[in-house]
Amino acid sequence: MRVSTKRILSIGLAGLFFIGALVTYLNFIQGAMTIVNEKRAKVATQTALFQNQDQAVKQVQSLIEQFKNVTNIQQTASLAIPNGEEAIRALRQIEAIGIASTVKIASIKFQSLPPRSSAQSFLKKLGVLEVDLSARGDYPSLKDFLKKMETTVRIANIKKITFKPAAVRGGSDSLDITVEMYYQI
Amino acid sequence: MSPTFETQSNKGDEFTISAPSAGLPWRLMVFSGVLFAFSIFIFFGIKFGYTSYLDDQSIKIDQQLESLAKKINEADQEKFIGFYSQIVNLRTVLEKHLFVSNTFKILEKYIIQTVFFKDSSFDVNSNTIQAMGSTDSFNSLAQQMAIFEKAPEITKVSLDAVSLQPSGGVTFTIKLQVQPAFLSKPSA
Repeated sequence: MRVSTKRILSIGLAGLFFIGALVTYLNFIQGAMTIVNEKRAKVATQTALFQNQDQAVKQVQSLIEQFKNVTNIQQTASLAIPNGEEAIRALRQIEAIGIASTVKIASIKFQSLPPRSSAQSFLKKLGVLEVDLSARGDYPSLKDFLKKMETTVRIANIKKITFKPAAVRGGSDSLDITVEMYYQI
Repeated sequence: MSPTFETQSNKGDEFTISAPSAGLPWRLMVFSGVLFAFSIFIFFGIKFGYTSYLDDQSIKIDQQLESLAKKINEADQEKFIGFYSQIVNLRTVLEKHLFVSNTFKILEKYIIQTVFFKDSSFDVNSNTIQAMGSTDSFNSLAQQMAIFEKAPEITKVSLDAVSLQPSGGVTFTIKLQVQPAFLSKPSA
């Protein structure tokens, strides 16, 4: 083969290789790099998420351990806001307060109101049990009854009261109360 | 550029002229070839080496995340959420807890001897005591109003209806708006 032919062939092949390298870079390597960068970003996000989750899990585990040691608080919280309507227990509680205050519960009505959702979605909803009751007795007893209702173990928020003195001398005064009791759903 | 001739002695006295080398173009071709081969190598390295390594990493982290969730016992988790909800709900409820019985104290403290209340009610939403009462004269009623207006526990006093009875007495309906702070603590 003639030298000049070899030379031309060499230059041609060099050009082809160079174009090939350029085409490989532009068409394949750049595309692959884009995919690689996306995957790297995904892995970095997952790693960060894992680290956060790991930290959160450790905190939760520590909290659960602490929580296991506060059974007294749990019991008190369950009495204040029980896990369920427990209308019978509420009735017994009101009846007991009535006896302790020497008032007579003339009527009592329970009604479930729509539950109230919490600000944080994972929290359990707060159920509301509305109690309308009418108590009879003398003024100091009714006042004592109301005070005891306000400080009873199961949280009771009084919404409305109506006091009526006895119509006749020696009769009983009356106190109508609308109270909200709460439970966890 | 003139071609280079190399003379070399062979067996005998024969002279041969070697073919001139391709020189720079040849080196250029080798360099381009290496560059091309390297670019192919890089491409396959990225495509089948690094990409699959990243995929493996991603799968591994996903598995670790799944195993992380299993680290906490579900029953414990449920109990904890229940307890935490109770605490948060308790706080929400206690924030709205009022000692309504304090309203009796207001009436006991400020009612004058000549005034009698037949009916009184208190509504938490409006924070208002509404009372129907009677007294012997307009003068007593005015005196009672003045006392209520001076009371620090009462923010607003309004007289709704007043009527003179044939017997000479006066019946009225009064509204007393109570300061919320006064109901936030139990009275002594």
